[in-house]
Amino acid sequence: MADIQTPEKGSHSKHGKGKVRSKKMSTRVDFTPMVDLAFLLISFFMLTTTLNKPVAMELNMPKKDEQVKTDVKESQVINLLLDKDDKIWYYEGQVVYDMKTTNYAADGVREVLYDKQKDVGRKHGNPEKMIVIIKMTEGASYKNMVDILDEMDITNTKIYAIQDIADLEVEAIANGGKLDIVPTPQ
Amino acid sequence: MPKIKVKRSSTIVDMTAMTDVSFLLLTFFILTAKFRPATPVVIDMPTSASEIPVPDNMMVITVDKEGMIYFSVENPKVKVATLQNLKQRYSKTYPALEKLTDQQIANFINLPVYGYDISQLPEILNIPAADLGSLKDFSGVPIDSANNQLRDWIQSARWADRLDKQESGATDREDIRVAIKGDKTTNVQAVQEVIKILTEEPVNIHTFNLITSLEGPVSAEAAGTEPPAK
Repeated sequence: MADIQTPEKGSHSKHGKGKVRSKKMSTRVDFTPMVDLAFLLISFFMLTTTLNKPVAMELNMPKKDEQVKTDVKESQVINLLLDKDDKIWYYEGQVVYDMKTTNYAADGVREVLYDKQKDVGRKHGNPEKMIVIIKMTEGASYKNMVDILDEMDITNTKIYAIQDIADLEVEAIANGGKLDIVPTPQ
Repeated sequence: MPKIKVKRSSTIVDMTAMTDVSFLLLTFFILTAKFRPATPVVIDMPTSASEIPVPDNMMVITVDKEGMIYFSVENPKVKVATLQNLKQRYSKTYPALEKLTDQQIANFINLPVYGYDISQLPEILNIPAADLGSLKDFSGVPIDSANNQLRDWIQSARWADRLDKQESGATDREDIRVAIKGDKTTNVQAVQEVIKILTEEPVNIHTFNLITSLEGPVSAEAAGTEPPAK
């Protein structure tokens, strides 16, 4: 308890004769167990509360019937291929026969995108003209997809699209990012 | 020389103030705490730096580690109406659905996530409400092209939402949103499969949300929870 019990001073008076005194009851209530309980409950609620609330990302997919042809220069485009084991292959324009790899670290794909933005800014006058095409291989995880979409948000990339991977790209990945045949641009 | 008297001070500590403080804190935590609904499916969501809050009125399509699909609707009224609409769609193929009692339909609200074939539904809804939270034997909502039940669930939920909007008179309320919730390790192809169903005819939803947890050190859902036994 919060107090040290000391023997009552007037205890001997019980044995003596004389007036019967009504026993004085202390009005003090010991709050210690109540505090114990309260803190126990606080700990419980603090530990069970989920601190991180989920957030939502918004994803817009193009409509199939909207066949709007936009004039795209090859130098605006960067392709990102998400592979298994958190690996990203990327190539610019149509240079599928020469792919490079990067990762999801802050100095990985983000740097690649910033570099491309600068390049697009120089060539086309506006870095926002960069077009990112995201393609996912069979081994990629959902985390990779969210990470790359998050990266689009971080690098402030306005134009990006998720597309199905082409056979040629699968072949290039299997071949270590290189292709012997140089495809003719369409 | 006079004796130096040691002043005896009381050893009693007044606990009242401490009680006040602790109960104030307790009240605060109880009132602000929002219990995470017991989900039988453990999903360790990927993190993102997005700051968009999760929409209030939404249907959630959950894709778990194995690529199984679960469906849930947040709003209880819409949830019941969804089931009623779906009942009509499937009553020809599964006459058992026609016989669903009001009790069974009410029980559907207690189902945190739905991850079964439609033929299992009457059986599932016979399970007492208290046990619904701990259900384990999921088969997932079928999404193959011949038997695409997820598509029907989505369509029914949209229909139910429109009905609810008309009934409640809130015509300016935003349409029900679709949110996809996936596990970190889910193969992206399973998610793309869902996206394909959403964007293609007849669903035609081109804007949807991906639910992620906030970028932070540890995801609370991942801490110490075992994945459900398959």
